[in-house]
Amino acid sequence: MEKSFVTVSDKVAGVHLCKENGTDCATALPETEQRSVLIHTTGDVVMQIVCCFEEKLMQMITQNMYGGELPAQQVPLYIKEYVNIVCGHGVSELNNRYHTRIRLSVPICLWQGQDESLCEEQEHPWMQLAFDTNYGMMSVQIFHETQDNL
Amino acid sequence: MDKVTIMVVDDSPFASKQIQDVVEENGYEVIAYAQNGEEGLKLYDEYHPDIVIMDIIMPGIDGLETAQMLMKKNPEVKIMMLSSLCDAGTLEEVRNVGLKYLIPKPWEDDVLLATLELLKK
Repeated sequence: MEKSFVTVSDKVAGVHLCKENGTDCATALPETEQRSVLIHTTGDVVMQIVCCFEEKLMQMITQNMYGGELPAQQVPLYIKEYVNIVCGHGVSELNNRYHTRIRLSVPICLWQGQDESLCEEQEHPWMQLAFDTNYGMMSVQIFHETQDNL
Repeated sequence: MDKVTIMVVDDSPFASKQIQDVVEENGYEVIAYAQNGEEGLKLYDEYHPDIVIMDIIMPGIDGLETAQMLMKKNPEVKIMMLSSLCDAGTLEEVRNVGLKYLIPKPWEDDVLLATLELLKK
């Protein structure tokens, strides 16, 4: 999954992600500047993937995708597509490796007045990834409900 | 000679813009955009594009279900699917509904164009 995030991020947004080892994702980003996007999976493995960005990094990703200054109301649409693409590639990797059928939901921006309970936080994520970039940090926490075929 | 017309069905303005930039530089014309499957079905009836480029993951009915409904009503419709999911299982699902082409996001422009050429025939 990590490789998918790095490769796709370079290609889609021109942002290079450097994996940070040993970083606690829950505290990696300053809380006041966080922007979180939630995406669910369905099928053989039910997961919640929470991608958290520092505000500055989110702006850079979306501006690079747009090719310039982006109207504010479009930023959530672009970051959702970014999350869709990077997570899609990660999930595809799992599907190909383990012969599973895991599907993705439409991403949700959690700071847009969405009910925070949409993201049911569990104590121990199955996987945590933290990335540093020139524009700030990004974390990915994956919480699973079933792992029938893994 | 009339240009081959395209309708894009994708809730992402990023994908829609990228598609428009590539195809219109190469002799196609995007005549309609829909942001979800239901809108796509309505706009197909209105504009009758030569080719439909459709995302799989969208709010409401997904792209595969939309494609099936389009094909049932319009057997002559030509559809290319797009998705961030690019595994063998997803391709199998696309083939199971009777479609041939799935382009992964992000795509290579030459792959997108080559697939459009195949669909044109």
